[in-house]
Amino acid sequence: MINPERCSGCRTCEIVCSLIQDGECNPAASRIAIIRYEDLGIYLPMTCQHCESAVCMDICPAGAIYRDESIGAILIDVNKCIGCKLCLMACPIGGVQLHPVSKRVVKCDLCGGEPKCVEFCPGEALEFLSPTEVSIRRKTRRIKDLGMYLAMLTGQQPAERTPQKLDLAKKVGAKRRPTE
Amino acid sequence: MLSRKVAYIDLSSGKTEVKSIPEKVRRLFIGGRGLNMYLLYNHLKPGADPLGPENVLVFGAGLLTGTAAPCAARFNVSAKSPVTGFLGDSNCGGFWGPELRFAGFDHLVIKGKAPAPVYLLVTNDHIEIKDASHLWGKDTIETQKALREELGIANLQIVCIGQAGEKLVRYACVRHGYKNSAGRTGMGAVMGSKNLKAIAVRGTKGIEVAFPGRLLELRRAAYAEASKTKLFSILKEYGTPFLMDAHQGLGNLPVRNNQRNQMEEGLWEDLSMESLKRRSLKMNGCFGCFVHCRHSYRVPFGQHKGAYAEGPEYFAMNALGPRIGNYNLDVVLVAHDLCNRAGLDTTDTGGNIAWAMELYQRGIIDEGVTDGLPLEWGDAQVILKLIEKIIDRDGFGRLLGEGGIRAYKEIGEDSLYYFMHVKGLSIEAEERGLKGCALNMATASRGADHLRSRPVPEGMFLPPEVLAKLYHKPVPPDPHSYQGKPWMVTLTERRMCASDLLGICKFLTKTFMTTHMFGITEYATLLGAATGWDISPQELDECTQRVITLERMFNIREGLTRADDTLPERYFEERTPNLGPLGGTNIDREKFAEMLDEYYELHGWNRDGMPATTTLSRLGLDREPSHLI
Repeated sequence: MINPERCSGCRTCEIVCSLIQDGECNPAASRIAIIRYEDLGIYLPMTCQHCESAVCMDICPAGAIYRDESIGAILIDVNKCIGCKLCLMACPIGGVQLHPVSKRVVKCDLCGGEPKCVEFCPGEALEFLSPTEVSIRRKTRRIKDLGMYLAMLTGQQPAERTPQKLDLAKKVGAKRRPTE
Repeated sequence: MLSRKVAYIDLSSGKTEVKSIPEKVRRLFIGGRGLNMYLLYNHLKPGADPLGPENVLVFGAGLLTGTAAPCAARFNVSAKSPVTGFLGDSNCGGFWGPELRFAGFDHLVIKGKAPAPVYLLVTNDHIEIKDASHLWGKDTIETQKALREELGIANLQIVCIGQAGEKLVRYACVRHGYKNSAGRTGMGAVMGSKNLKAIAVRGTKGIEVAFPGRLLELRRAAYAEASKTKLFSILKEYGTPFLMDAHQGLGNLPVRNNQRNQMEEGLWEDLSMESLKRRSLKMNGCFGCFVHCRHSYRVPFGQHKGAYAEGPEYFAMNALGPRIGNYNLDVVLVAHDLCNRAGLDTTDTGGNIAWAMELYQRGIIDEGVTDGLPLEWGDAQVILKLIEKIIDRDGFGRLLGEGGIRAYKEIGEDSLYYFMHVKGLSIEAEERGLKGCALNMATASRGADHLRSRPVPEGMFLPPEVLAKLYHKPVPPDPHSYQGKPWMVTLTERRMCASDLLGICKFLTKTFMTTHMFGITEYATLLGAATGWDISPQELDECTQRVITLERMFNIREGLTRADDTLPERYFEERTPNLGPLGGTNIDREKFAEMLDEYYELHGWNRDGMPATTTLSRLGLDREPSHLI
């Protein structure tokens, strides 16, 4: 689960992913990427979501993509993959990519069930949770961060925050309280 | 990872040459600041005009920059300084250093001067010199936006200068992203003097790590340790501006050009750490960092009202706040953004404005000199106007942009006393109450600068056992004592150098602001896990000594003498007011001289501060310049 409002853009996930997968630190090869909106200071981690109805798996003509039920991951069998890149084209979020060095088609494999990006993210922007946990955690987090996130998205100056918004922010326990 | 190259770019001829770095050179100087110093010493002829084409500009990433080592984002920018005439060197975070390494380069050596404005485009193993005439005149934010749009390359990382660098304001800086700067010693002016507007980098080559599992284990352990320290919980919530509150309490702030050491009670709350936190949108972080100490905000008023901005750091708040008599956070934030956009060192900007304000206060200058501006302390309009004039090199602004040690000649001999500097670089804080920190200011190789060797624990009132463990021998816990300080400064100097060789953030360096985290042993272990070297802490420590002495040799070659290792006259002549535990004191000349003698001795230098021949041969510097790369 990705919590973009907590991402500080440090790219630790990219460094650790590439190091674990390839033995080299190379954000360009990382299976998780931080999409940066420099002018807003907003950073969105994006990676394969191991879809319940995986388009990449459906479209693969070589039958190389399959689901590992034990960890819920969608994986590529490198021995069957022919590199046609249909999966790249089909994935709606760019979760499959071409490795810049090996030129193979690669994607997130959840590190065998203990994703390293999650382990090393210093900001709790990435979490690996069961389906029920996701739901409740998400709702709780979202509400808590709502105040801060609202302020960022709307570019509000502290003076422009209305009493109603301040109130809401206080009530939901927003992490960053706007000025009183 | 050791296969990354050094590129030599001659902007006059347009030719580029790429060479490998022999491993034996790396073992001697490691990387980052160390190899930068080596390259500078070997490629620059002494006596060059810092703003002329003969100056050599070196960019260099730390040897661990771009790897999974904790907070390994940093790179150095080095040249002869237009501010001091001695060593110019500035360390910078963000994402540019790692990207340079992903493109296959560790160091760029830039010589000559382009016939017209250019920028460099660095991609995998490839460097192109491109026309930048359409970028000239843009500020640092606009330049980066324009380059990103024009080139359409994802994750492009850019260093660039703004109008201040183009116009050769001596303390113009190099900027990267919204936050980061190679801020001090005028490296932006050097870029401007070479007609070099920007260096844009994008690389997709991985950096091989010898023992990935070991490196990640070290990272895990570092994070676990950091999470238990007070420093990190403060930094990730308040950033360095927590020091404003700390120093206000201690009484070592440079209020109104160091005339006072504490802001007036009840008037300074707007500059407090809580006040800034309320204004801050979100804390962001550099490449591979787990601290995330940088603030972000929206510019509160003026031409760029509502624009996104990042920062400020504590020292910038000092320079644009109490130093110039301004206690208003909004004004700090606007001034800070102006300096960032134009590419101006905030410390020297504040330092020169403070100088001017005190001269005005004392009637040494008047409106006739200041283009009609009444330089009242803390006057927001005046401050912002002066910053504009410095950027534009307009009238009195031109004079201030030269820096006090040149400008005083046009104003009058008696004005120099009021310019707070060491070697021409503006003082950042107040050190009369911290004798060790004072020694750091006097001896730092690039001038008044805390990032070479400031022994911050000196002012933390730590128990003697903690200090003894930190410095490997008992040292007095009293900041007012002159004893033991040369050793504290010397040890700190070596440790901070180590972090600069590796490209790791100094917040992780033991002896800087924390008694935990990385000392020389931990750095050597980290280096070994990443490079595969069998390198002992002693060998790494010797590398730091080598770099420090080489920097000394560089400065001596440019005319440095013992007389330059000194402090502002005010520090000797005047006592700070009796405010706070660090107030009511000055620096005793004789005791300072004794500290300096001991500092030199600890370095293996003679009483004039010259490296002894035995020291040179012990460190293998007796053959410099050796032209190995």
